Amino acid sequence: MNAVFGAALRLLVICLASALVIGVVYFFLSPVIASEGKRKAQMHPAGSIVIHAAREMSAPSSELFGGII
Amino acid sequence: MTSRNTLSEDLMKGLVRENPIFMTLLGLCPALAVSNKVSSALGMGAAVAIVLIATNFLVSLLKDFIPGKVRTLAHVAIIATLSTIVNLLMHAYTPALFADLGLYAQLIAVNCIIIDRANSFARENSAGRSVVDALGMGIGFTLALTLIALLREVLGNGTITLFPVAGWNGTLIIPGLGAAPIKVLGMSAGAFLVFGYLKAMFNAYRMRKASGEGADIKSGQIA
Amino acid sequence: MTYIGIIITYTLVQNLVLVDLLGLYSYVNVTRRLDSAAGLGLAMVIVMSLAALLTWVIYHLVLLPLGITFLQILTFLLIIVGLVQILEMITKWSSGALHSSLGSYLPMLTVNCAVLGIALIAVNANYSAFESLFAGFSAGIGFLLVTVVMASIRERLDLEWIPKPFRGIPIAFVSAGLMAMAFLGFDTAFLRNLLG
Repeated sequence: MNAVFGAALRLLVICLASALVIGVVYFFLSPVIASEGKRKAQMHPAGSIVIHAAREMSAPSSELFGGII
Repeated sequence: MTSRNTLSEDLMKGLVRENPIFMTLLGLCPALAVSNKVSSALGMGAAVAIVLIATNFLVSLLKDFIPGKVRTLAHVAIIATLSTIVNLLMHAYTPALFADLGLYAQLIAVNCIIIDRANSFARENSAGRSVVDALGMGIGFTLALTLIALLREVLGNGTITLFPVAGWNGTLIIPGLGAAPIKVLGMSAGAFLVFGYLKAMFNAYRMRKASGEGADIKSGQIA
Repeated sequence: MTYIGIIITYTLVQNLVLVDLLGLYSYVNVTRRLDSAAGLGLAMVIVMSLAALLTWVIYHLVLLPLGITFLQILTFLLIIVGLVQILEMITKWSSGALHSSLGSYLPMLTVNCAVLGIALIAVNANYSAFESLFAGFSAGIGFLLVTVVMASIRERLDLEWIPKPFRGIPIAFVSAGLMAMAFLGFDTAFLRNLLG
């Protein structure tokens, strides 16, 4: 039991340290990133046509459940 | 297992003998998709090499701290962190390259080379050796990917896209080929085809070398 | 209707293997025989659906409200790896048959590009929770489709004479390229005309 606890603890340390390091790097780089403008991954052109058309055909039902469905 | 090679052997093996893309087929997952432009291939290769070297270095330093049972999770956490940092750096300082790589920049975190090298080499070797191993693998990966990208772009588009420098937009247009390119090579199908043919040529070269050295290759089956 | 659009997109139009070139490592290594390909495909369906749903939950309920979306890759990967390891434990405990048919392929999915890929795609495209789940499911079905077809092709190819350098991986890739070319039929022009 002690070994499992120790292993989990070490893993938690690594994960928290990782998150912290990323946060620090992001903090320093965010001014530079913001000035370049957001560029998100583009969706595949053909795929987005299908999804867009499908959404248009089904507009009313997506208001249910606060947008979860 | 602890490496029994000399230092230079550890470096060179990543170039041909254990080349990640052509021999062990590890680097394919998120990399083949960006081999449609030479600049993307070079950029992806550099990014992967950086993450690989840093990962091997860290995993090798932390090898006694990382518990065996949760090894995969710990390695993944380290790789994801380094990959995110490289992504942020690319987003900040090389936005054009980052936009070209698109989704695949974030997928560097699951590039099979990195997790494999961390698991099989860095876990049991010293930090220095691990860095050398990673450097060799990174260079081999970049060379292989650039070769694929050269073929795909020259034959598929008639251009070679390099990085813009001092007013030149970075695109070399090959005369003659630009007029009637083989468009399919620029698409995903072309990636499969080019890779298949290159791997076959690679196999043929290795078979000839092996038979030249008198090795026994009755079946001729390489991989 | 959106769901029909999603399933058509991720199985045919933007098949994750043939168009986005994800999941290639398991694709080429486990498609030599039909039964192992089917097992891998089914495992992918389950993992991708659950991964897409769980990553939606983490993104929209934790990362976005706290403004720490830069931890996306780290959290997504930890969730996916954890998910796969839990699934592996479940299949080991439940039944030997389930483990040998599905469970033995799970380790290959821990660091699989396609699973993280569909999670990132769903997040970038701003799908709702059920849409994400369905997108993961469709991507898995697309993967299953492609691996089963590929395994059938390779089983037959193993019986033919093939030049020595091409045996194994190269001919598999050339076949995959031909398959990808066939799937190119679902392209922008065709769909625009079809859907107006």
